[in-house]
Amino acid sequence: MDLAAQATIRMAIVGNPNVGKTTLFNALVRGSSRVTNHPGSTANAVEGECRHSTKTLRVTDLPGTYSLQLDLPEADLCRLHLQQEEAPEVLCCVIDAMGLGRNLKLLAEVLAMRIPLVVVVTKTEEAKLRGQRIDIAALEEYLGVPVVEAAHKSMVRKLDPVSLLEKARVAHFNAEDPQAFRHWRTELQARVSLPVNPRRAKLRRQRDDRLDRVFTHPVIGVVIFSVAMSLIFGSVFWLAQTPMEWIDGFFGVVAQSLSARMDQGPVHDLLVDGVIGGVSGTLVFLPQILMLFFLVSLLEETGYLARAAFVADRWLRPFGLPGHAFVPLLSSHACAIPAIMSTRLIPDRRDRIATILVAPFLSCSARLPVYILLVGILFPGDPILAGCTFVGCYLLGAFAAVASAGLVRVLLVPGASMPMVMDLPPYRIPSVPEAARIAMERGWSFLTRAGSVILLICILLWWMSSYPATPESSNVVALRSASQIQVDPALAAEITAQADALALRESAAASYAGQMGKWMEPVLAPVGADWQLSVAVMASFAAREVFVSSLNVLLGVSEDVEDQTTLERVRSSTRDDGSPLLPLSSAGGLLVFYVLAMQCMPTLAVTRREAGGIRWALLQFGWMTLWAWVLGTLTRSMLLWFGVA
Amino acid sequence: MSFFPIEDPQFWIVTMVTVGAVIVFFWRRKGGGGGSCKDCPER
Repeated sequence: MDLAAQATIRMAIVGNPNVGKTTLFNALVRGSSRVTNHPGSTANAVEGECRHSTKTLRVTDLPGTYSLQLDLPEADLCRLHLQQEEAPEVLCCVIDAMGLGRNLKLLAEVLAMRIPLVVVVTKTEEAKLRGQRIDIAALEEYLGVPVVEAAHKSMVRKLDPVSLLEKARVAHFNAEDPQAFRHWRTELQARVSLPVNPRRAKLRRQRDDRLDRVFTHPVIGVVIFSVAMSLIFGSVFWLAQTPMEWIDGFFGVVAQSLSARMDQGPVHDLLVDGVIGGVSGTLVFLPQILMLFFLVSLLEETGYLARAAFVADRWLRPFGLPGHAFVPLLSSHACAIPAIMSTRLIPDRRDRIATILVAPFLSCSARLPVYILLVGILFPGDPILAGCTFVGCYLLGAFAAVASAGLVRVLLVPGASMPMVMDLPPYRIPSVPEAARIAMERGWSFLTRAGSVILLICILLWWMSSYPATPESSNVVALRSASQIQVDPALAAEITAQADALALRESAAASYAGQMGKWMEPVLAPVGADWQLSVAVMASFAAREVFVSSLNVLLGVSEDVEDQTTLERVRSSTRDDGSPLLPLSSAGGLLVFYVLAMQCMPTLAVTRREAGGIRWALLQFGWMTLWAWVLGTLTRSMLLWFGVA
Repeated sequence: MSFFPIEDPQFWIVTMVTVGAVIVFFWRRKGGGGGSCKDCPER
């Protein structure tokens, strides 16, 4: 087969888990798949393309596996992909210098396939620190295929797809029977793996072991994890405060200048209340999202999160969740959809169903703006308490997930869960640019959501909260008359503002959204919601963060509140009876409701597909909503009982 | 008594914008496959 003459070439990246396949894939296709420092993050074959002059390279990133012959979902997926009709024409096998011996089984299988191959050896720098040097020239000679060295992550990113293609060669491998393979493996390791500075390596290993003993301790490990997370969340609140005020101020100025240039009317109201009010309500939380993902990425880069997984495994297993569930549950903190999809890697169906059902309990990034708003109302100007409450939200979600999993395993899918074998990555100095890149990626995804889905929902919600229109009531007319005969201009302006606010509230109450909110109010009242908050809760079924934007749209950005921040606006808003819109008891009740509620239609659709039936999606929705309502009501009642209004 | 200000051209402008927004919302969901979370990389 003449690859040089082909316009489109199919290439697949294979390798053990956590060797750097996704980093290479991103480098080749200039993609942005999330790279993690723990194994098992790629559940599906991810495809990407890169064009180079007249050639198109179609690259597939396959899930990590130790052998193609294993009876595991990831091995099945790789095998099917490599043996399909449109099988890859070039293979790129990524091997990790840190554990060369472990990589050789898969490498031998790939060599035996007689497909043009290039081998990329990663983490050679780290291997040297651990006392092992890989002789690349000797490896190339022994394998009979080109070998490219990528000492660390930044070197993997510099690899050029065309040069890899040009280098690829078919190997002449003849060690397929077990005995020949054992001989081949032993000889290869003896020839290419050379010891370097063994004393220093031993000290490093001892240091890592000492750290592991602390971080994976059943009690100390949990304490360290809780403290680390509390510090991260506390600093997120503290550091993001000023940029949040800048963003709020910016949108206030835009709304004011638009009001000054446009006549009052529906188009003005749509732009100021619907578009600017709605989108700014979500965008204001961008600094916190950036900060949180930056700090969590730094922590993950160190290799610490994999140790946290190890600790979590001990806690998960008694509740019937397999160790394999940890990676999907961890990624559920970003979004439950990819998390549920990655449960495909869990071999046992009962384990998989249990994980799918409970994954949305874990706090996803769409809940963050709601948490930030409600926690900000509960603890204004107290980043430490706010940070602790934030951690409490995450812990409550995790506890609900684990407890629900226990019940699911007892009642619906009984049986013992399978143990997990996990390869702990080495401790690394975190890369600040890499963490910044991940934070920017998340921030961009948040921005595009605010500019698309959230904007569209805000426009619809504005229309529904404005129509049908109602003529001004006698109370509003009386206030307007009073302002006209008032001689003091300041007092006249104040009465006009009161009349505007009353008119806005009355028109919103009579609108379609208001009618829906009033219909829903009796159901959500025990949690602490009035009709306005009920509208926001219902609107957030399309996307959770719409809760904040909906409130902004419903409360309107009248001229007297344009200079207020989102938080201040919500805090100063009132209900129909003049009481605060969000008293502390309601903020607490709603916070617990949002931690536990299943308010994500796309997640339900994915659950239905992955669990294999609508009954699982309905069960998930019913179970989570029930818990959210019960515990939300209980929280509000307790707060009221303790005298917190 | 509630009403729709049909004589006001601005009412029609905002209504058309809203209908457009609803169409785009459902069209995106159908095309995206992952609904509002289609931005999440499929892992």
